[in-house]
Amino acid sequence: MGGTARAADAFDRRNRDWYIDRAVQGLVFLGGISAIVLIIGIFVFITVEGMGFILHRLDLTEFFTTPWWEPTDEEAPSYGILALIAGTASVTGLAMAVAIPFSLGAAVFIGEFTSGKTRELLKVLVELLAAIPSVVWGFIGLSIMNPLIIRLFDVPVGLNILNAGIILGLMAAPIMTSIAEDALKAVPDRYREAAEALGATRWQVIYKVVLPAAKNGLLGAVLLGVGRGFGETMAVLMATGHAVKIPTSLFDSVRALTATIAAELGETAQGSDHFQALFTIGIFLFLITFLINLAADLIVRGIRRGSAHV
Amino acid sequence: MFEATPLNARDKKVQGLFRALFGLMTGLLILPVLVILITLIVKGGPVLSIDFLFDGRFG
Repeated sequence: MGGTARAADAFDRRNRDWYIDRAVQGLVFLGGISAIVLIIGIFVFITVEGMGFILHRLDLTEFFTTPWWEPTDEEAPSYGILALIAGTASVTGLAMAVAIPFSLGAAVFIGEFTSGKTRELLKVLVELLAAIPSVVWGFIGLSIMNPLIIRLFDVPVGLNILNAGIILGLMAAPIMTSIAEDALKAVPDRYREAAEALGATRWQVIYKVVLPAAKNGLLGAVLLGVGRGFGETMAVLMATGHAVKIPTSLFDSVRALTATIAAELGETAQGSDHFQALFTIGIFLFLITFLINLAADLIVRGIRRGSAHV
Repeated sequence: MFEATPLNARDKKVQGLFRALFGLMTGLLILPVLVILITLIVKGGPVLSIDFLFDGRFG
């Protein structure tokens, strides 16, 4: 009798555990899928909002190849985003020229030349850079970089590509440094040991062995930085000068795609052509950022698969 | 027993140079954190007070 009761009790316990297990599995599944659902929801929302413009008003040639963004012109509004694309590309390009050498250099220094507490301290400081809100970066661009550029280069306005490029480069650098350092760390230690056993110095190990082995991860880090730069809004809005023109020098003010949406959406009549055109820019931005992040993800996955076969 | 050759010395020098270069890059990357913190403290510090933090009125 006692044995039967114990067996029944054990059976009940197993049942309860099974239910708890299933409930936790369900929660984890919901948590995991919620991000995907949200992203699809956002994409559907911006597509629906911009669809009226895409179907009835969008002239692809005008949209992508003319630099005149004059949506509030009462007689003949024009919706050319070439100048905005040029603004975004020039700022992101300069940002990457600043961020790539510094973040890769910092990743190599932190990952390969330091150890113990020094490494931890440097990592914390680099991560602190990532924790600075973008509006504070914009504030720095406006209040420190702007007068500095005017004084150093004797130009009338300091809110330009140079200002925004440096600010954006510093903003993108921490994430690039962290991912690049992870990529360096993923190189198996036996590679380093083998090179050192052959008499290579630390720098030779890095240059000849570690960097080539981690090159896909480093490329992934760079692409994620590009995605970060391309999608940044607030700092770019505050530091570029917000002028719709195709730039010819680093000291030209420009306007970015993201900044245009941020500055104009609140002032536009809901459902108007202008409103829908801003959503069309949003779709374009979404697709570009998605492609950049997808490329980075595929590259990083490629490395993981490659290192698994080593 | 082991004596460094000119090649070893050169390799060591190159390594030192790159270590210094990457260290400098890391320092320059971290410098803005300090600049921003100091700027915020210097410019915003004098306004900080209990009233500033807890008074509901603005302006």
